[in-house]
Amino acid sequence: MKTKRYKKALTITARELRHAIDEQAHIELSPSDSNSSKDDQTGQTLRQEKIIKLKEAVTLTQEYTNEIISELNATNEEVTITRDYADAIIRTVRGPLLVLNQDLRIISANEAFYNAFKVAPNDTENRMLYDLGNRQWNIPKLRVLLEEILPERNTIEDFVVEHDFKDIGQKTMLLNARTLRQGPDKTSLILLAIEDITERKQLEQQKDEFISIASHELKTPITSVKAYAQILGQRFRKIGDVKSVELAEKMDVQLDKLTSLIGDLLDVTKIEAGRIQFNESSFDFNELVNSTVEDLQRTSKKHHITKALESKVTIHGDHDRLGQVITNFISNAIKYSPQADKIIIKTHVDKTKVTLAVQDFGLGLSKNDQAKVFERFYRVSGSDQNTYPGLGLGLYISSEIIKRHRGKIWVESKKNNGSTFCFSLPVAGSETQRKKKLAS
Amino acid sequence: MKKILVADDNSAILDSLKIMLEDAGYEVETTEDGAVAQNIKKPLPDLLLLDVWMSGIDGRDVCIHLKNSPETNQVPIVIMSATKDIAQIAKDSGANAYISKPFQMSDLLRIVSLHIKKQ
Repeated sequence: MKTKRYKKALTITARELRHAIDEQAHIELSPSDSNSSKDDQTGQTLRQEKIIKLKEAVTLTQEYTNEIISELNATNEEVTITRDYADAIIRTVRGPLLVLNQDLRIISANEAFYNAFKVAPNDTENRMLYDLGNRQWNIPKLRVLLEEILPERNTIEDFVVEHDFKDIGQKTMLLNARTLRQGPDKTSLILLAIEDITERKQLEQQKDEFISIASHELKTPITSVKAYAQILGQRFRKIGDVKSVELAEKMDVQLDKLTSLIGDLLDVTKIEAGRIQFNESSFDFNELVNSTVEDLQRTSKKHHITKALESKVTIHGDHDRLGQVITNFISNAIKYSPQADKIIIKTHVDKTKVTLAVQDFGLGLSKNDQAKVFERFYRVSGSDQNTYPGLGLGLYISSEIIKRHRGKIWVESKKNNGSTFCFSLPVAGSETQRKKKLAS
Repeated sequence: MKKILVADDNSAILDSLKIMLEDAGYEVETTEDGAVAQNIKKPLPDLLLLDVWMSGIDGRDVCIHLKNSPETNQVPIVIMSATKDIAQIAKDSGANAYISKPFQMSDLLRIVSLHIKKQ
């Protein structure tokens, strides 16, 4: 703003100077009347006045020029400080970082970039990004990202690109980028952070494989122990030994709990890794509710599960996974209502969705707990709840399953007054269902 | 008496399944070697109960092989595994049905009786 004002003032001064010079020239060129000493004297006075004005104008111009120079110096200093600041950030960041101009030419890179991708500054700066390392960086997915997605959004967050580099092998990179507009002409700069997550990804894969194998290995002995327990139960039943039948059934129930815990651990790992798979099919939702209730009623002698199901409805989704959610709701209802003997399961069907509600008459949840109960590892605290075993995973897994089916999950509850856990799912053929298949 | 071949590399599972199925009135043969299941000859079993993860051989490959061979493609195959992806595995390998480990005896017997060759 200041510079603009000076520019205007300088223009005016320059005009005045030009005007004064023109006048001076005019006076000198005019034919003088040598006989008139009075006129000579007047001309002299006029010239002196003009010279004084000229001097004043020159002084003013100098002052303005000095001001502009000092302002430019200050701006330069600011630019240098800003650039040093930006350079310091780029150099300090541990992850590889590139600064590109809008033509994707590299302006600067940090040490981490040179170290991670085994390139030298001379072969990097002022080069086109795609030309680096004999065009090893000419990666189709990267091109789409920088040429199509970034110009549209100005920001790219956590975009994974995998590429096999000739010199450094297969790399998995996590890209974050931001477009900055700077200077009066608003030229674009692109900050591109490239995190090498190859090792982390390998470790995650190893962890997933380990948990998957561990879960399989743990389930193998459970399978045979459970089979033996059921054979015993069956044989006791044949000879009418009711007490022993009960013992065998108790063993069976405990083995189911163990299996479910192992399953939860595996599911969480899969959800975290984004690798939970769904086997989609269309099925009768009421049939699923009925068979799940039947299975769970078998394991609970105390609680009677009452059903109030509305008309038959077809759902498109993963039959077993949705059964897992219903099982989770009913198991929780049984677990957290030890003093009650009733659980009510209801469905409601409308044009677009089916809603399932499992109501218990147990401990209930405070407002705070209601908000957090679907979070991973969250367990309701308090003297009552502390005695209830669990990993705090069941409802988290259920909510992930429902979300991936484009449904909603929630709880209605009052402390000491029971809870009603609900989910709703789009019905097959509804608009929501047609538009969106299972989220990947 | 209907004959069932059970292939699983875990001896305790084989033992318990043999007892369970024999108690239910089936004749049961067992093998810990997946290759035996892959090379079944006449007289063919009326049903094959096949584990997926077996030492040295993949139950999926056994299933695909048997389903692609004109001599054995009529043998009903029930694939079993502890993995949650068993439904997809069954679909991909052309199995007639699947059962998740660990299983309820009633579910196993229902699936077997549903799929076992009728005559």
